[in-house]
Amino acid sequence: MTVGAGDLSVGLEPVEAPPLGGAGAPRTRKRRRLPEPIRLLLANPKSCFGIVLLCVIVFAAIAAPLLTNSVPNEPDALPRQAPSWEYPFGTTDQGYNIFAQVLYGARVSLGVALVASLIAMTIAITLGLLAAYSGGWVDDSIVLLTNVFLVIPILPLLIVISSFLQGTGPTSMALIIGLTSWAIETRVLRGQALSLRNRDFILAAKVAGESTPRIVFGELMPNMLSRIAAGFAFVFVQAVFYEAALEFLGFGDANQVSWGTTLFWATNNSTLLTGEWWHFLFPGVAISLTILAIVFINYGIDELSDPRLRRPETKTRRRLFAMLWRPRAVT
Amino acid sequence: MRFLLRRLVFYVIALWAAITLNFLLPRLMPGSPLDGLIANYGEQIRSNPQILQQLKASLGSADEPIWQAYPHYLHDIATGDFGHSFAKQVPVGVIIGNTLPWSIFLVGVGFLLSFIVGTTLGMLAAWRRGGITDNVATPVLMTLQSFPAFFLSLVAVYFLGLKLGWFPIQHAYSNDADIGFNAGFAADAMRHAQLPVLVIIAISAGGWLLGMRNVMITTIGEDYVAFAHAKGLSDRRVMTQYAARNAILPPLTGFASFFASAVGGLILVEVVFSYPGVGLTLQQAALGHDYAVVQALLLVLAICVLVANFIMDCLYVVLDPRVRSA
Repeated sequence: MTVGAGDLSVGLEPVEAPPLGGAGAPRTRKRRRLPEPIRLLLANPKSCFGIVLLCVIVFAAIAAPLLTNSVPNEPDALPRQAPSWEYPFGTTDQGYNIFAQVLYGARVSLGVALVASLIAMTIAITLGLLAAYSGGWVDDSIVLLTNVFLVIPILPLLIVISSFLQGTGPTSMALIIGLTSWAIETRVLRGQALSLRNRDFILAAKVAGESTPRIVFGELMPNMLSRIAAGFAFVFVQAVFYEAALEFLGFGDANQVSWGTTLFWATNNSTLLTGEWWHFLFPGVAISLTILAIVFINYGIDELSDPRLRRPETKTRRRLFAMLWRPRAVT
Repeated sequence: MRFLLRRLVFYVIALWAAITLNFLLPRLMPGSPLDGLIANYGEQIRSNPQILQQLKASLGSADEPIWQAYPHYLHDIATGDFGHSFAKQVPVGVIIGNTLPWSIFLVGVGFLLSFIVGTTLGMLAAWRRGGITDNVATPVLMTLQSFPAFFLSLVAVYFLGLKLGWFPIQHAYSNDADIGFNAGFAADAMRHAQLPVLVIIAISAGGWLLGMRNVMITTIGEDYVAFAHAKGLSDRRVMTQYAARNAILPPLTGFASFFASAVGGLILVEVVFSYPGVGLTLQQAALGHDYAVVQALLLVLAICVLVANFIMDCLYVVLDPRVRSA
């Protein structure tokens, strides 16, 4: 029983067209296909857009040294230059190349967010599934803890912790963000696990005498993978936002190049008032595009799992769709 | 009423948890926060041994063991004694009194408007799915929502405030304003709140819109909506009194987590606009290691979230008769 993939395909018309991502593969019947959930996501225009955008951003972060010769925190140009061919995103008041800062900054920003969301999701999965499966006082106390954490404002809490820590680097930042932003997903995952816990296969495992951790992580969890993936995307967005916000507010390591610190220096040097719009615009756009990419992926997941949210197909849309997809379907 | 009572018990527990968290945080941290404070305000602290004593009590490096310090701390909080700010040389209570009204004003106006705008657009978008509202408002607000609050604020300040000169770009009132309850000052304050409020609407209306739209798409398919149509009621009446009335409940329950994260957006907006509210004060106190202020403001923000949630619960009771009878 694979609810993970089954979830997504509920009410979905058969997708004839191969996914965009497979365009490069040779068009033979025997070519290797991508896993089903990914194929479905690529077939949905919204999530396909999100996936492509995210891939571009991640690629730019990894390939930073190939895309620019500048080192992000060494001055190599005249200060305060507007964007040009040589310096596509302009330069800072110290003569740093902002294009290089945005590319290299992506590594720290995305890395911190990735680690933070891994921590948060590990906590959320453990607590959420344990609560739903165990019930009783375990459930009650986890629910209470989660609800308390849901009403404590996270950004102020992060600010206070950073203030006590007296200077946070990427590692401690990933840690504190991860440890504070698990509550929402814990509640969501508990809800979904509750609906699964009385299914036959769980009861069968219980009768077979399997241990609680084995049932929770071996039986329950694999059947919630699509929901976990969506939750991961959500927490990742939160983490990108919190990391940038903390650094923007001055609680990060100001010498570490990341999107947040570039923004921090932009406001610290009041570039707004001197008209250097490029200093805050490009790192901000980078953050927004990352968040936008994941929001679109999630939007696609939502539409796939709830067909009612999809737009009714109009004639023009159908014709457009046919125009775009049919030629590819001929194999 | 049992519903409200149960919620109230939960809020008391949450409040206690927030206070305890506040108490434990400085004690759990590696290193001693007190050292940071002495590094920043060494002279002031050394010149006044009483302050040092008080600090040790609140930050946990005291000779006082934790089981004595905790009741002591609870007592201080209960009597409204939040300690003393070093940076500003005034009791923390005074700082809260000066900053909280500005934040409540900003949040109150901002979130009320974004709720109205978001749910109304969500209702219209669901009613005519694929229509103009759905095709324009939904993607626009969803896109705006993915911009972080500080970035949107910066863009708004630069383009709408500086370049076009439509709005004042910082502070809550003009420097030469006559502070007090008079019409001139109120108008000035309103004028300065316009852009921050606009940003708050831009970042939070999308959530309400999507929540409302998605739930309402489901309610539109319900039998009672079809029946209302069949009775010959006007479209408008079916939309507002039948479909929307029921669709609004689930988004409201999501309010708790929404508001807690929206407070973060408020801090960022305040910082960018130099708006003299709790958020800006919290940032500056935290950067300056003014711990008495930092701890008190975290507590104040937590209490605000709890109060806002309780107000929402009351609203829920008014809107949903099922809760009342249960």
